[in-house]
Amino acid sequence: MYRIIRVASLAALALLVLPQAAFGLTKPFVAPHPDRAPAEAQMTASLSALEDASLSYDALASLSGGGSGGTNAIAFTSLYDSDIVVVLDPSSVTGHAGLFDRSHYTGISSYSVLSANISPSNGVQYEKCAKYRLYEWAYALRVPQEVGHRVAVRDYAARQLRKPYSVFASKTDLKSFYCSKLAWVAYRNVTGIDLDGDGGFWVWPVDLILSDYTSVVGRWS
Amino acid sequence: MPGAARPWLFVGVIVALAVALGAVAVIGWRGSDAPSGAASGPLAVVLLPDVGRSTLVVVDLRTGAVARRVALRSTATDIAVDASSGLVVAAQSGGFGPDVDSAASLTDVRTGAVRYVELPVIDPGDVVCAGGRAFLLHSVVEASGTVFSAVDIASARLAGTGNVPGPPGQWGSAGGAVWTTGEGPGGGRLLCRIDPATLSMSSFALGTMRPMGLAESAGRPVVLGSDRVGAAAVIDPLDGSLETSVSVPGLLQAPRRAVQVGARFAVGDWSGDEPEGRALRLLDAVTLHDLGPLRVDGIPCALAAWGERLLVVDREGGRLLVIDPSSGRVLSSTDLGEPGLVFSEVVVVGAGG
Repeated sequence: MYRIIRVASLAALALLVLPQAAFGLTKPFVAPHPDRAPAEAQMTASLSALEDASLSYDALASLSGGGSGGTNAIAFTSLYDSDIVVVLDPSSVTGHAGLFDRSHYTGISSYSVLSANISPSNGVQYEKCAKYRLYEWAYALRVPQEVGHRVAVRDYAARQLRKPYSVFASKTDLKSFYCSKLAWVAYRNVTGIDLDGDGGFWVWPVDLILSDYTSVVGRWS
Repeated sequence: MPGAARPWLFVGVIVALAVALGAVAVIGWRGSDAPSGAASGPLAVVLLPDVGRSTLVVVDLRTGAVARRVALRSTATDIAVDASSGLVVAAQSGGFGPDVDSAASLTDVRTGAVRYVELPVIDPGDVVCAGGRAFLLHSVVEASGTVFSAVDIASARLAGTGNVPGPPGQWGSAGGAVWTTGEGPGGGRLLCRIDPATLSMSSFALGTMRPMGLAESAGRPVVLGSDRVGAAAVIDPLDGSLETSVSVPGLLQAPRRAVQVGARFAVGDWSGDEPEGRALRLLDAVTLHDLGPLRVDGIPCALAAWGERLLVVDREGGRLLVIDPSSGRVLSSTDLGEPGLVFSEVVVVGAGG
């Protein structure tokens, strides 16, 4: 199952970085990628699933991580509250996503991106901005029709701090999060819009790029 | 007499063996990349974050030569030095997802030996040393605040964990204690002092200043940041009260990093964002009176002191500069082998020289 996800995701990522996206801030074309509920999703006790090392490692490795490609020069000062940061590189398949909190930003050494990282408990956290520069590509996404709600979206995400990490929980399960799901849920529950570009079980970081509701306001490599 | 040649032959063989062994020893010594005169001399240690695996570049300050490169197991985002042992501690933050790390590395830069202390919480992002311990701030927030870990350096064991109020803020050491900025329940800005021995914490109101960095000058904590304009505030290390506050002129951004160099306090504004300044500001280390600018041939992204000399990492050129702050003259420049650094940090080991 996860081998299929990886292969399909690599193909999707390869298409993502084709020259067709080389100019301007137009959205890249992304091939369809796996979005059906994994068998593990039937395990409602997602924490116990995470404790199964062989299961969780494959799943998590196929869905996030990375950081072994190049670097980017993302300009955090150009971002608003609740802008979504997506970072990608060749090894990460789907990369990583977070929601920017401008009120905590004092430089790239500050912890100003709300996201979820692997932690059985306290998965939702404030991540250090400098780590987002250690990826080959970075995208900044904005939801133009909801700029009036950006503080409310940010605050909603901040209220999820300390909730556990899980890639097996469905998008509507508010007890646990993975990185891109936090941004998706915050916009969904505050503004009512669905940022998952292609629907399905998972909302991948690339789905946030592809959403009709998001604009790419910055891209760095 | 034919037998008389045998002792000479024996001596010759012994001499030849000794020469061969010596040659092997020299080759082996060089092959291990051990510093020649750096075994006891002052060293600068520069963090190159890289991607996936960070590197510590060890520079012999007497010669300006790179003495050693130490590869760490994951991305490190900060380093500090323990004054008593000379060990360099790195916050092994790692990447995201399965690449995240949860360790402190302890490196003897004179030998290149690295030990890892596993921490109970992921993603340590900042580190300072105080009282023989390393204190690491994590990105993880619990109900009672952001998690920090304390590592006993001598035993290389976890000494304990604690929480500081609010999301992770600035992290520094001064006056023998650990200092951090946090948020109170009402959102008010706090300055917190952590006792390195007991891990007990005291909190003080910080006022209107927006903290962007913490440094030490004359044994006192100095909060750097913005209070309408760039500012620096000296804090009483015992009761957390404000001793004095000054504006810091002449920088493109608010001050974020600083180091005491003799009687001077060198202040920088590097934040990782443009515009990136090419100057530092020198203040009096005690009064914080402005002493004027210090132009730097490069982008100063990390600072350290070596006696009366200032060490600067030039982010743009990937160089370590040793500068005489009284004249602004560059005394030496060392190519770190990697221009265009994403960020960096620098510490000095064995600063007696």
